Amino acid sequence: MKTILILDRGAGNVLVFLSTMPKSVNLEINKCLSDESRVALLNLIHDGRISRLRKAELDKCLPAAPASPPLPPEMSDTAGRIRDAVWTYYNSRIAVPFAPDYCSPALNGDNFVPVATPGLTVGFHPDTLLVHVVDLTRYLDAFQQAQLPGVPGSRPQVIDWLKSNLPVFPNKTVPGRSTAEVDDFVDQALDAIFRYEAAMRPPPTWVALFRQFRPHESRGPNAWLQVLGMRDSYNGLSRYPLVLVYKLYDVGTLIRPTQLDAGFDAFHFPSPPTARISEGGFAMDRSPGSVQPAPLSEFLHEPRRCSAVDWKLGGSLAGPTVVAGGGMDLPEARRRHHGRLRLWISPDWLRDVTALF
Amino acid sequence: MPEEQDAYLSPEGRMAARFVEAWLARSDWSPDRWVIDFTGLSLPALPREEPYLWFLEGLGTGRTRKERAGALALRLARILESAPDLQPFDLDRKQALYNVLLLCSDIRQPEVLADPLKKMLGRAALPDSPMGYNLRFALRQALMMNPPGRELERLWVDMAKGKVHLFLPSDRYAAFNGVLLLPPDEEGEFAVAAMSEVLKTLAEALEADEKNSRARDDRFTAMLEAVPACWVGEASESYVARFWREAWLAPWPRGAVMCVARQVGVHEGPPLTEVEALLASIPRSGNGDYRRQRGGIFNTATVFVRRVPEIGRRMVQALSRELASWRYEVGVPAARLDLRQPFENGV
Repeated sequence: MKTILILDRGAGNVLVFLSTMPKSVNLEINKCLSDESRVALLNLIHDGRISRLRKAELDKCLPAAPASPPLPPEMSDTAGRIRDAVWTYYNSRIAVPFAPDYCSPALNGDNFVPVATPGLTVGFHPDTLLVHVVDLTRYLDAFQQAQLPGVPGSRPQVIDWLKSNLPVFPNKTVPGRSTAEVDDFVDQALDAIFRYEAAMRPPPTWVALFRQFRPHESRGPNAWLQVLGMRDSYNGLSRYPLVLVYKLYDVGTLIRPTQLDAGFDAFHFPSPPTARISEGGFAMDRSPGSVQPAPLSEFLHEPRRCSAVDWKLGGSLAGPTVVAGGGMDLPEARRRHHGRLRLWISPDWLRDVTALF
Repeated sequence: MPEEQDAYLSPEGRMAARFVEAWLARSDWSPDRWVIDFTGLSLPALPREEPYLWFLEGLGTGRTRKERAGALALRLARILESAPDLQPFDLDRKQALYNVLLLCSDIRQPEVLADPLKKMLGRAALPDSPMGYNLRFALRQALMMNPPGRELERLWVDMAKGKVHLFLPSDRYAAFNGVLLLPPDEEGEFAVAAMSEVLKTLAEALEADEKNSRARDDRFTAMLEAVPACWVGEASESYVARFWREAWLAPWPRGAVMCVARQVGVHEGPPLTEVEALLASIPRSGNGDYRRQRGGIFNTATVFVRRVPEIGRRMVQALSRELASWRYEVGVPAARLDLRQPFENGV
């Protein structure tokens, strides 16, 4: 079986070997690609949750070795080829409408979160509340496709349009609109998002535990996104998060995430090997502040059709973020997250690996 | 479409999934057929001992599982609503109902199944057959997984206390599972008070039944660990911390207090404010349980001095003035808590 063999030679000197390549082809990750690609590769190296069978599937997605030099720029080194393999794998095996690899018992069964039953009490309660924060500004195309009433033609107007249809935190109502009208809009918007993603490439839905999220509710829309590792602004435009809450038994199977389920996202971070499966992965908190608070557990599940009922269960939370400018850069976010993981989960994990940042 | 949905299942699983999909899609299905379906006569030959296992395999995972489980629950509810327990039983009907109930116990759909199951409990018409297909046992399991709100809380607590239920098979440890699987209330709180009562009762039962203290501690610790693992995502004060307080104040048997204290150290880190609040709340003299409560703190301190030195240090400081008299009052050998050692080690 072809598998990726990755060797860690300590800080600043990480080498990657692939069984499908000649051993002479190796690279120093510190010298490759952008910072984001470099740390995503490091995530792959240190992610102990990817099964051998999944690695073999990833191996199949590696582009064939170029026949002879000169190589095209984007394929000029091993890292570029691994990056391509990860995205090919993501697009063909993760973001798919049916039978994604993360739901496969054979490929990813070790990451299925157990659910308590009368015969197996070591597992999550089936009524455990999960929270999913959806950023509505990302789905302008979906709203246009569904022809929602009054939907604007360009992004800068989206926030105003959403403000006229949804509450602005901390308010729970919209002036001049009845509760039924607001609920109806939420239903239509969520339905449009579900149908849009189902027709394209539906990514896994990332969720956290509602009880852990609850203390952050009062901090407002920026914090809702930040604590879950999402950007609170994009290109100087604010975002409009909507908080959805539902029960574990509404999602079928809950799964601990791996780097492969996040694509090549550098804002994912592998979880320490000592963390229990019930702790899931750990969201990289981007909010400013000390390193003290424990990171929120994060999980994923297959996309489900959400509705206004889920929104109301979460307390009807919605509102635009404030564009503060700046924001935490990637190395800083990773360094802090690593500090949190060592403080709360595993003190000795990756003690000497400074290359992670 | 179903074949795409189940692409990751084993060949047997795919066959089961195809059958379940077709079975759920049958518009002419009626509850009259249930005995045939759930004795396995209409199922393809697969090496499964009981038909319910076969149905479970056919549910798949992820979103597919949720959708199929929802549709299956509607069918199961129709069967239960036809009051199959009021009709005469032969072996086939027993097997079929046993499979229906165990299937209910593996899919959580209380909105659909809780009411018909509760009515079946109310009718109390299932035959008592401890050997073979134990229908009352299967009903108990189904009720645990599909509870009608908190209505059965008292039933499980009484069962844990050793009271014999007139209909359901009584088992203390099953009662623990029953409380664990109760739904949260409107505030999102699980049944902490009931669980605390059950744990105290089980600790006392273990104290009486299990003479080997290590085995007793292991069993009790396993139950304690199951609670935060099931009621996950605590926001502020943890369940174990609450049990810890209960364990002092109730008080629980000494071995159980120690088990809880160890869990607090494992799960919480140092809850210093909790320690200080508790120390302040317990009277320094008087009658009643104060001696035992302070003995509980003493026992906990012995754990923390070793495991979480910061808490141990604070507790010892707070208690140091009284320790001399305590040795006699609570009957704990002084050697159990060596006061000098932690400080000499720079703790």
